[in-house]
Amino acid sequence: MNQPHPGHPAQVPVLALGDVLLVSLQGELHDGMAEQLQHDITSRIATSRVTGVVIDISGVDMVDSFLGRVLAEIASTAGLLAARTVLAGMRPAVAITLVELGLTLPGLVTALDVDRAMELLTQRGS
Amino acid sequence: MLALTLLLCTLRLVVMETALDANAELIERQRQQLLEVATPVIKLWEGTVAVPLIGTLDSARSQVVMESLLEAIVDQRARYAILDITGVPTVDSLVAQHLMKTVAAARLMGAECIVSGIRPAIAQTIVQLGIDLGTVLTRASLSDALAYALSKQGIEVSRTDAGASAR
Repeated sequence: MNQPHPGHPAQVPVLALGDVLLVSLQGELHDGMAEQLQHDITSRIATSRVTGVVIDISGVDMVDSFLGRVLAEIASTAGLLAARTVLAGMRPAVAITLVELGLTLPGLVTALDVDRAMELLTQRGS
Repeated sequence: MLALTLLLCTLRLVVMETALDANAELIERQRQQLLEVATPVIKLWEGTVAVPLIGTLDSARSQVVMESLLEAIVDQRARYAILDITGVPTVDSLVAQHLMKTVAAARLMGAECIVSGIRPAIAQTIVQLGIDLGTVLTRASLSDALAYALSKQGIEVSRTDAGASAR
């Protein structure tokens, strides 16, 4: 399950910027990595004072139903721990594919890029 | 004599085929032009873009609209996108579905989408068809939609004294 694929890092780095966690997804996300990421984010929110999570997917070429579900799950888990999740940097082609698949991710807050996402979090936080 | 008739007939056929081909090419080119021309994305204000939709909205056109709108959202860094359907003659369930898809795609890009210019007759049709546009933000006219987008961004437009006295 946790077998790292050749050429892919086994873990997605989770960066802390003040009280916001920044996750930048690159390329494909495998089952093991997704599980690890969910676990990482949840424990980071629980142990430190995190009020927001920004997930940057500008490096992702394709979002399938699996990744869509993972993102929604991360958002609702973070929500349970009182942290808001913002999905940032979706490419137009990805958005069109998602809509055509009927995956409109209704529970997720979205932003154009990481900059806007941070703005959104600080704006609502104050 | 027979050979001559045959030759003439063949010639006529060739001429006709060439003309038909040219016509088909023209129609195809014009269709392409219509697709491109009929869907301009206008920057209304800093952070606000609008697409005035004119004519019937079919799958091919709505695809073009969606693509150009999303590109414009990225280029202009728009927070608000207005879809104006004043020029759309009829709205059936398919057109409504296209609209909702475009709105959902814009939302995924982090922009809020407003549908404006629903004429009374169209509003009635939408209600009678039982189409649920509850998730879509709607305004009566393009100016109402722009006013909403501006107020949401904290922009206030007011008349200056100089402008008032010039009237």
